[in-house]
Amino acid sequence: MTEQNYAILPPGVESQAFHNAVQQFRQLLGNENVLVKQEQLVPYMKIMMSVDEAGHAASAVLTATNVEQVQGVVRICNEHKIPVWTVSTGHNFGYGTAAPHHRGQIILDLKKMNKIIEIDPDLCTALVEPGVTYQQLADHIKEKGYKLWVDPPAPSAIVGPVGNTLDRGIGYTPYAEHFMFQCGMEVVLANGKVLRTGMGGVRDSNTWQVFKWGYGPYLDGIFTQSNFGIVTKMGLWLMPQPDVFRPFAVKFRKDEDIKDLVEMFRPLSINGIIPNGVVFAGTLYEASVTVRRSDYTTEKGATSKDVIQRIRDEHNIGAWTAYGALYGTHEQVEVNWRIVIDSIKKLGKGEIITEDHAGNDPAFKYRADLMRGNMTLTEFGLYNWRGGGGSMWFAPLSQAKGSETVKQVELATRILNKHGLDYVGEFILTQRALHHVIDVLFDRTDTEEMSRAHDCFAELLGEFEKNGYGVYRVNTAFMDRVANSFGPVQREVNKTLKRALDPNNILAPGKSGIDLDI
Amino acid sequence: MSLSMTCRCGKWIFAACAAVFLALLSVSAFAKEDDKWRNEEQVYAKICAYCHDVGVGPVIKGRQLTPTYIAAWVRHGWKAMPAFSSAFIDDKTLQRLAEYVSQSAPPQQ
Ligand SMILES: Cc1cc2nc3c(=O)[nH]c(=O)nc-3n(C[C@H](O)[C@H](O)[C@H](O)COP(=O)(O)OP(=O)(O)OC[C@H]3O[C@@H](n4cnc5c(N)ncnc54)[C@H](O)[C@@H]3O)c2cc1C
Repeated sequence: MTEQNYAILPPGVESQAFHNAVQQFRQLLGNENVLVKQEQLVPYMKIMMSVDEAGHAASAVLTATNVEQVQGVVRICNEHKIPVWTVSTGHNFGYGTAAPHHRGQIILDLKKMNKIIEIDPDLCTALVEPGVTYQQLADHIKEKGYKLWVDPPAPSAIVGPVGNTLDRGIGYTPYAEHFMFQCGMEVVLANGKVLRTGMGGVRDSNTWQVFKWGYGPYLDGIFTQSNFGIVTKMGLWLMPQPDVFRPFAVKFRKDEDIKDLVEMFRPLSINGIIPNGVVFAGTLYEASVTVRRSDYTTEKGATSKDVIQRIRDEHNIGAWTAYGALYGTHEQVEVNWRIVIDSIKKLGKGEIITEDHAGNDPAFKYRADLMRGNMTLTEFGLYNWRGGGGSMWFAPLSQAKGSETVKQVELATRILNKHGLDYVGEFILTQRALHHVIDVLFDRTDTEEMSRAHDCFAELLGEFEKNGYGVYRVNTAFMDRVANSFGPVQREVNKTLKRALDPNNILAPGKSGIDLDI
Repeated sequence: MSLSMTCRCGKWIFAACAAVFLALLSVSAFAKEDDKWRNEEQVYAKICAYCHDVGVGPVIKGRQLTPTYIAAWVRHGWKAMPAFSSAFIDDKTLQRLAEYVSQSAPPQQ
């Protein structure tokens, strides 16, 4: 293939114009940072979704290493009307990974822009570039001897705070709601200008990473789950290492126990007794650490209740397992532990498991690691449950009320089973809300199963919407569909902002359903 | 040439991918990135080991898997394996990592 013969072109861009743009990119970034050959683009093709990857194939990948280069990329994209999809560490598994929203968009991969610009160990703040991973940040903190923790999502080591926070991801320490603990951004706008949000606008300010709100409208939010700018720096808060960290689990035996356990944990969360993102893991989510579906059955379709019960019995896994942790001084943790124990006793059910009881249980170990900000990839065991590399997160929000969780679990299980798939889900409690995170797992090598997964996902969205539930985030194949759930006025406001900030529609058209062409 | 990007790869497709990949290794090494990873042991410990040493992914040490085969898996990320771009692990480091894994002893039980 000669370079002029590009296999894929950006939508509406002629081959010659694209070639000219590629030449300009090469001049700006150097040849090694402009990838157009199909074999170079392979790592960006792993979408895991229930659609053909050809629909999400990029025409090129660019890697930039500084802000000026990002500005240059935006300038060239504007000149040729080339849409550009930005990723930071590019491992948005289950949401479309690094692939663009539609075929032909170029990818701007910022992984090489990976400086930890500043950490203030007294104020417990950090300022980082997009390519920094949680592993890199944690290693740096350790090297410097700072007593600070990071809060990674489950794919910790191979993902980063900028990408995760911009997609409004979640972790498991007391700093679990990542956007809540973000402070200050630097953003390259579509017109090439560099915006520093909040206190970052004040010359010589030293409060950019300590005060979120700045002056006037608070802007950081419009650069998350959106396509209004390219974030090139982000501030975040780090958690001071507590004297004592005490992780624990509570196993509940029956499906319906979810109702009571949510009622019990909610006040403990709102009152700050259990300050972290508490998890309530369903049987198969928990089992996927150690069990494969093929250990029990090779039949296609949904796993039977009998098999699920056998897994519970043979592996001593609860219908629900709650994971929480206490943090603080020795005295604080002792007092809070007594409150937790008393609450569970009062409930009259639930088997408490401490770190000592858990021994070498890999599920407990990785949950404890996440709750203290250690790196682990054990949760990738989910992909072994059914095998075949298909995964889409269906992640509706729920009130932190037991009755709501029962309703959502029943609804999701019914729809998943109807399409021959399993409920592999967990809830993450952050005071008043629950992220209900269900991994729609399917074999992507089986076209029939993939098509069922697609219909299933669409039905989940539709039926949940009918019940007044919306998802907090979704993969690129369903972004437009989900934008509809949030109503025409939100869509119109987003479009108005897009028109004002990016009139050529070059920044990630399609992200969260925002696109001037539709 | 046509290169299948799907994970439904038969043996012949794999061979083609691997050949292309080897060719790529020699032409585009990102020298700038060399100082990012201290060495291949570090990459193994900070990425691969989290799955392949704990029973999540298959054991890959001590199996004399060829470097070409290992590198192709890293870039494609077939099935449960995530794909890693050259921005994440540059070609030179990946080549050294693949050789390291290929020549390594089986993990201690
Ligand atoms: C087993 C497993 C468990 C998971 N658990 C969790 C979990 O606990 N919590 C969680 O949140 N997620 C989880 N995920 C999903 C996902 O892998 C993580 O959220 C991951 O952090 C996202 O990828 P990333 O950090 O590489 O971000 P990226 O892929 O780099 O970015 C994510 C998105 O943000 C936008 N974006 C990125 N960078 C920029 C930029 N510089 N400017 C503008 N927009 C940008 C883009 O739209 C991009 O697609 C899990 C995945 C797996 C496989």
